[in-house]
Amino acid sequence: MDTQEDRRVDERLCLLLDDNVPEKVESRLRSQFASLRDGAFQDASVQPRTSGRTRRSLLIRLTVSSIAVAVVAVVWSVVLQPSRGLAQVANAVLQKRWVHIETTISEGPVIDAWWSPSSGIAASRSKDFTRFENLRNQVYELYKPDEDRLYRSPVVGTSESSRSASHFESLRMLFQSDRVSEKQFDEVFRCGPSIETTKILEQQVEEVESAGRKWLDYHLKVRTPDELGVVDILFHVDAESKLPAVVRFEGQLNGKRVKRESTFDYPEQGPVDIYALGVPRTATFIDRVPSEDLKRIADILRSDRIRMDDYRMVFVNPSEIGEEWWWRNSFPQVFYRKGDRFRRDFIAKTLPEGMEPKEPDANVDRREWWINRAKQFEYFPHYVQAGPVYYLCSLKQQEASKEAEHVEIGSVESHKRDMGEPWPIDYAMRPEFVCRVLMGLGNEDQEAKLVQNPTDGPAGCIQIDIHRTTKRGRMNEKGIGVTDLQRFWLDPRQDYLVKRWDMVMIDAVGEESIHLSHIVEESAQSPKGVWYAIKVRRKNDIIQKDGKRYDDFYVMYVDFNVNLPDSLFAPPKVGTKSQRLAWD
Amino acid sequence: MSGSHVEAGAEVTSPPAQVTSASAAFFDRFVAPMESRMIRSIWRITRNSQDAEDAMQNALIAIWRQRELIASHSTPQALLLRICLDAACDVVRRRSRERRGRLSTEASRDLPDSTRTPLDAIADRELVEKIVLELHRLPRQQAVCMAMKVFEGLPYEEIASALSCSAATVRKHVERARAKLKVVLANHDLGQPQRR
Repeated sequence: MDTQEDRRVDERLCLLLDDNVPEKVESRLRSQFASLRDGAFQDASVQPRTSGRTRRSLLIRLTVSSIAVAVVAVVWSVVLQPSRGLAQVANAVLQKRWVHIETTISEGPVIDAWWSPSSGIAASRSKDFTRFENLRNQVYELYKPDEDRLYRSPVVGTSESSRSASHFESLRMLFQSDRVSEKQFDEVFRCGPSIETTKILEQQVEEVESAGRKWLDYHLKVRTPDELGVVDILFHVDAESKLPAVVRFEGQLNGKRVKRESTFDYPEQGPVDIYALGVPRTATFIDRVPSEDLKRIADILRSDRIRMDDYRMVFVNPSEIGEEWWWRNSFPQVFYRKGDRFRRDFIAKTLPEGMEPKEPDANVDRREWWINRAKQFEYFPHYVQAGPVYYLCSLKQQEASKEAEHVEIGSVESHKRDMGEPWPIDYAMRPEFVCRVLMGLGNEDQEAKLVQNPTDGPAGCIQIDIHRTTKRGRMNEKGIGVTDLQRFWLDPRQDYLVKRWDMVMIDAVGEESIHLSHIVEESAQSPKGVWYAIKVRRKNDIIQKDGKRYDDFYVMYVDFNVNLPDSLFAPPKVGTKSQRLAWD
Repeated sequence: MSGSHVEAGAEVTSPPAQVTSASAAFFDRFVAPMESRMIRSIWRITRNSQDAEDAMQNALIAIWRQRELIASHSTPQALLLRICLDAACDVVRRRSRERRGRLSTEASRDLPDSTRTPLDAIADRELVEKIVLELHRLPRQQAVCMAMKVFEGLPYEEIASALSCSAATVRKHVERARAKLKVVLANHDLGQPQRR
């Protein structure tokens, strides 16, 4: 056991040897990470390296390989939105100086896109926006003609190259044989709202000759997960180079025939900057790249979200209304986390008469009481999430006469949502996320401001204000939409845990009103040292019938010392009956 | 195990032109969340841009080579930090020989602190140099254990798991390292006027 004196020495050493890495050094070290991210060390690792010039050259070349992949993803998303992934373009594309794609959607909007694997540039242009991404420095510029503003923002979260890596592999494979495999196709297309309904109904590959060249036409009939239903797809591919020349999608939407067609060409020249795409040089330039301090805080928050320990949690949501009957005021839900897998269980049915709880002693241990209460119920999984894929369950409708029996899962829907990091769908109710929500730093429509010594808020905290600079999506009278300002108070003593998070509306004369506040009233440290919330007070602006406002609470009884078998996170099956949970 | 640095003078072959999904998955799951911590752990030891770059490059190569071990390790985060610290210690040791024991540190981004005088800052800078020098002189295992425990705040068990040794051994290394650094602190304090 370390003594008090040891701890004092340790604290002093930590203060002296601070970890404030100079900006330039950090930037260079991060670029080295980019190389690893791209898997390029796979070969480099077995090769001797040299220092100085040759090494830098290696890094540049390594970076280029990531650009190629990232650009593929960008282009794919432009061409095939909302699905991502395209019949990639084989390795031949990577050797091209520029690739230009012109996409027309049902005689309507035209989107131009360019990418250059060698220079690391991806750009696109439509009547609504112009976007220019330089993947080497991980920033993009976005011009909005209606505002005449040019924004510079960071590429945040998982880089495009990382995110698209798996697509790349699938896409590259897509045209390697004379038949598109269902599995490969599914890998490429399962980015829509549901992941299980994309299906190739028919496919045919024919060799055609045109203008003295041989082409392969891949005709596919595919059932998509979205409202387009059955879609006819044509990939017109150069038989020799495997480079696509035309990609065409045709389907029915609201009874109308819709078509999306992209034509590819491979010029020697492309746009060198956003102005080359026609953006006026007089446009107002707005830099949204966060300062180093903000970026560092965001990194710490992200890191702690990810490294949070595995847990089981009994969650209750009592209110100030009826606080005197707190034991009947809420029902316990059970949440689980194991790595990047999450699960939340709901009570499947109420308990029979006579099982209502009796009023506990005034000094009862509420944690223990709620955990014991949770053990009385049967549960079913509301959702199970593994990485970005989650499965939502709903119960089978039950006849009144059979209410006493077990209930069972009636349907399971699968969805995919990739946030670039493990991100449960109920994040605001989780102990590690409610105090580390995404702030949207770097978003072109949000302006971030760091206040080192705020005049109000929890003591000892720093303040970050995120102002929305657009009225688009602003919260309406029904409370739907985004507030004008989000204000965060972060506690540096607890690794920047967000002690308070206010959602604020600002009226025409600049008067602020708080729509909703999350205030962390109790927090603790996990065995790994991650700070998390135990009790969160939620102050809202809803006035009850008695003319008063009442707060409610998220109370989280987290247990780290539990056995969480992998089977707990397996996709739920229809017909599975509700059951009491297995408690250690 | 981290002696994976490679010597200068050889040519580097072209990198692969494609990215594998496995590499991205490995990176996203294990390395990306640790990026900032790894950078900072290396900087704390090296405190010199060139050394930090070299150490990071060596560490990344070692990580890539050991990715399967990392992915299946019980404490992958600790293992990643251990690899970084090993690499940092290797580099500073080599450089220390080249510089004949002289230190070449660079200033961090000092945050303004109104409670400290310029004299305090100079005294602190001197002390930092002494501490770093002593840290560089420590046997590698001691330095790595010390950094993982004190700077990274890892529990003894996790450090032991990353170093493939017992927690008692880690504790012994930390105690020895701490005792040496404590002497530097005490000597410095003796030479300073007392403040109230």
